[in-house]
Amino acid sequence: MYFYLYDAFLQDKKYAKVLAEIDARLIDLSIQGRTSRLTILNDMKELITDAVKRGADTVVILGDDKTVTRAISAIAELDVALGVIPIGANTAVARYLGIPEGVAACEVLSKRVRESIDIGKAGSNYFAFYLRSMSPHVKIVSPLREYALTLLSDDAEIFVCNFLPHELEREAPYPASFFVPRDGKLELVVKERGKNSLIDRWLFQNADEKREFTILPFTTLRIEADTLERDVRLVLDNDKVIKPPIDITVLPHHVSVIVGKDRMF
Amino acid sequence: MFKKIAKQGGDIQFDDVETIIGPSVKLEGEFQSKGNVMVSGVLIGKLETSENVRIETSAQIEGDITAREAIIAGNVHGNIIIAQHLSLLSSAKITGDITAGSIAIQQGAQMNGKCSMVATVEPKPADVKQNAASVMQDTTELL
Repeated sequence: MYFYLYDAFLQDKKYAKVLAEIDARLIDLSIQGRTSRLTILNDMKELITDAVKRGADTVVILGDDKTVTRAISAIAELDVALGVIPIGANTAVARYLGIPEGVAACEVLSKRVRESIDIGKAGSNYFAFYLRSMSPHVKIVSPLREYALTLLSDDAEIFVCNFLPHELEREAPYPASFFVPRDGKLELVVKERGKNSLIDRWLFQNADEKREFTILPFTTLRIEADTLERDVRLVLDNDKVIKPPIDITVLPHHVSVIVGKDRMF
Repeated sequence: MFKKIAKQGGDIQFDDVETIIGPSVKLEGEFQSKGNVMVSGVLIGKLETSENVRIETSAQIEGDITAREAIIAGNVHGNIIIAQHLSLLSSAKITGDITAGSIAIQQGAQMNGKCSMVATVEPKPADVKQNAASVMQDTTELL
């Protein structure tokens, strides 16, 4: 049984037409189900948990990247498949899953091709896409403290990735073994800021010369602030903010998602 | 950079890399891997892998390196144990003893330490350390 959850921003009149088309197509494909709408007064996790208790085995999210990444975190502890109908400006997650925007996504949903993907866990919080440190003043430590990694530059960015973040796409291509959300690993990425300016890109036209980044695959790591005085914040999926110290681990094949044939992993 | 390695007789292709330690980081401690490792930053401690290592020009290593094959273009202050082939590029500066199955040294590379050649043996994964230790008896001192 399908449960459809609409993000709050879809109440805007400009989405009325595409939503009507989607509703009609879902009926055509006989995959309609109970629907609910997010508002400022309700909670996504509660709505999904309630739907699963009522028998839903597939939760379909209508919205953008933020909606989808929140939904993946919300279903992390539930035995349910996640489908996506991407609508809105930022739909990179759906693109990775191979799901086209709007009405076309209904066809993918109806085929129900499922893939189990990894997700990350930072403390008690889940993240589907990536974690980003808002400060370079951190120390990254291996689980048994065999090694510690610190930054030599204040002008560097730190990511912990499951998928390839949009911010790093311009550096592509990466080795095929990185950023695969079903390999049972996350990647720690340190990238120097400022290496992406037009001048830098012109100077380093040879792609092999501009790979000034660190990529370290791992299953468990700890991020600590390098001094107690620093106000270091970590952002999960461009949404939730947490503070170190925090243990980060991968949960392999933890979430079942419906994917399209054009998925990028 | 990575594509050039193959032309120079190395064995590390960009697509095969498991870990890249870039120029903006310092790694301290004992780093172990089962894949190819590229280093262009600072590493203080031990680097061990059952596969191959590439030490870039900008790299500063203070500690021992153990690997199947290696290409070194940066500074290494420590002992190097390579089960198969070691390439020292012209910018390499080594202070420490080298044990390798075979070695190629470009003009300009600096080496300060003993160099011992051993029979090339195909290492089993995660077995580089034992392999290198067992063949150290049969040494030929070059410097």
